[in-house]
Amino acid sequence: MIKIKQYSDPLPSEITPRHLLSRRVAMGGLIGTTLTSNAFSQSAPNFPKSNRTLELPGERITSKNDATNYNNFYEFDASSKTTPARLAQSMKTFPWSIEVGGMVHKPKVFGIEDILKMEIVERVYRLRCVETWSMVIPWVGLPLKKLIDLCEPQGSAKYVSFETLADRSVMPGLRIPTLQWPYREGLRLDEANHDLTLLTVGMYGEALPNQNGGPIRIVVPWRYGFKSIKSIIKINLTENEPYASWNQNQPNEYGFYANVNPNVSHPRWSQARERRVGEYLRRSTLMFNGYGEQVAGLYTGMDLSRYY
Amino acid sequence: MPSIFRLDKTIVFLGCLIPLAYMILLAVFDQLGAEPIKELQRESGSWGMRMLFLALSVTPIRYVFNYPKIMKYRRMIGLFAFFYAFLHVAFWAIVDQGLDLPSIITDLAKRQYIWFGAIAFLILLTLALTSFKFMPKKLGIKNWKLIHKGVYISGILVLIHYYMSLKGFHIEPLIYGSILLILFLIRVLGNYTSIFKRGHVA
Repeated sequence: MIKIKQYSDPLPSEITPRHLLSRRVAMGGLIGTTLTSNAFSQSAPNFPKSNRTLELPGERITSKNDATNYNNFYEFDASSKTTPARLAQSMKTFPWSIEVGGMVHKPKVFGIEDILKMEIVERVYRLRCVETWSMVIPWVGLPLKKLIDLCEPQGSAKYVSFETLADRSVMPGLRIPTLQWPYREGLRLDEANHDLTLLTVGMYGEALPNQNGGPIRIVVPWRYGFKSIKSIIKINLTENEPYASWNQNQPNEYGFYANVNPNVSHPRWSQARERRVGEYLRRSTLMFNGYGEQVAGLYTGMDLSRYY
Repeated sequence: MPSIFRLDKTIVFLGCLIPLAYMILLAVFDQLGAEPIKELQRESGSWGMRMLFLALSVTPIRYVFNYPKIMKYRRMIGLFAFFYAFLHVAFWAIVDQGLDLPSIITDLAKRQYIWFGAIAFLILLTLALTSFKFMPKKLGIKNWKLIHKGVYISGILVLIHYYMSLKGFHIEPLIYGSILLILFLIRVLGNYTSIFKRGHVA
C-alpha cells in the first residue's frame, strides 16, 4: 500500500544490469576525470561493487523489503516504523559531506564520493534493536578506523562522537522533542577503532536507502541498534564521554554502552529474547549479539550490569 | 419497529467492528509490515483504548449536546472496548509469548507497564461480566454503579500503560491524555454545575 520510492532520482545502479555495473563504474570514473564538474558534479556517484568478506553462517538474511520498510528514524516520524521509508525520501543525500574534527591532527571534510572511492566491503551482521526485534543485514562499508586514521587522532583522544543531520525543512519529526535534536551518539575510541565497527554506505549491494541512514551511517553490531547512528554529518574526537541522545534522555533505561546483553533487562522489558523479523517464535538473545569472541576483551573488568 | 432488530444499534455495532475488519484486511493483504505480531498487538491495544475513550465520551456528549438518547449505545461501546482489550491480551499471551508461562509470569512480575494494563483489563473484565441487564438488580443498583465507576480508573490506567510502552517523548499520549481530561472535566461540570442544563433534560 505504501509506495516505496528508493531515490529521488534513479541511480545508475537501478537501470544498469548488475553484470555491467563494474564497467559502468570504471567508465564513470574515466569520464569524471576528463569531463570535470559540470555534467557530473550534481549527480550522485555510482555505487561501487564490493566483495562479501564476512558471512554469518547459519543465519538467514532478512528480506530487503523488511529491512528497508521497518525503520526507527525519529527525525522523520517517531510514531511509525513504516513511514520513514516514504518520508525520508525528501532528504537529499548528494552532495553530502562528513566533517571529522576535534582531537585530530588533520581535521578533514569527506564528501560521500570520496568515501565511495575507498576500499569498501560487504559484511553480514546481526542487528538487534533495543525494542527486542532483530534482523540480519548485508552492510557495505569500510572499517571506521580507516577514516579516523586518515585524520590522525591525537594521543589524548579517548572518545568519538557522531551527529545526525537535523534539517527541519525535510525532517518533520524534529518538530516534536522526542529526543534532543540533533541525534548524537558516541563510542570509546577503542570501540570505534574495532574492526567490526563499520562506516556504512550501503546494504544489499546498493547505496544505503535514506530510511536506513543514507547516505552514510555507522553499524556497531554488538550494540543495540540505536548506537548505530544514521545519516552522519559530523564526527568528533574528544577526551570526555560525549553526549549520547538516548542515554541522556533516559539514563536509567539506556546506557552509554548499550551492549546487547540478554542478562540485563531494560527496566520495562526483558532483553533475554528477541524476535527475528520474518520469524514467528522468539529466539534467545546472544551476549554481545554473538560477537563476544571479538569484543568481550574491550570490557574486561567492567561490571556490565552497571555499565549497561 | 420489531424489538430485536434495531437499525441504529446495528449501525453502531457494525461501526465498532470496522477496526477488527481493518486488522483482518491488513493481515490478509500482508500489510502488517515486518513485525506482524507486534503490529496486531499494537492495533488491538490502540483500538481497545479508543473504544474505551469513546465509551467514556457518551455521557459528556449527552451533557454537551443535550442528547440523552445516546446513552443506549454506551453499554455496547464499552463491551467493544473490552473485546479489543481481550484481543490485545490474547495476542500477547498466546501469539507473542507463545503461552510460555514462565516468561509470561516473569513479564507480569517485572514490567510495571504491564501491571497498569493488566489491572485495567481486569477492571474491564469485571465490567463486562456485570454488564448483563439483570446485574444491577442482582447486585443492587448502588453496588453496581460503584463497580462501574471503575471505568474511569481503567481509562487512566490504560493511558499510563500506553505512555509507558513508548520510547522517548511522543505526542500521542498527550493527545489521548488531553481528551480524557476534557471528558472528565465535562462530566464534573455536568454533575456538579448547571452549566449544561439548558432546555429539556430527559
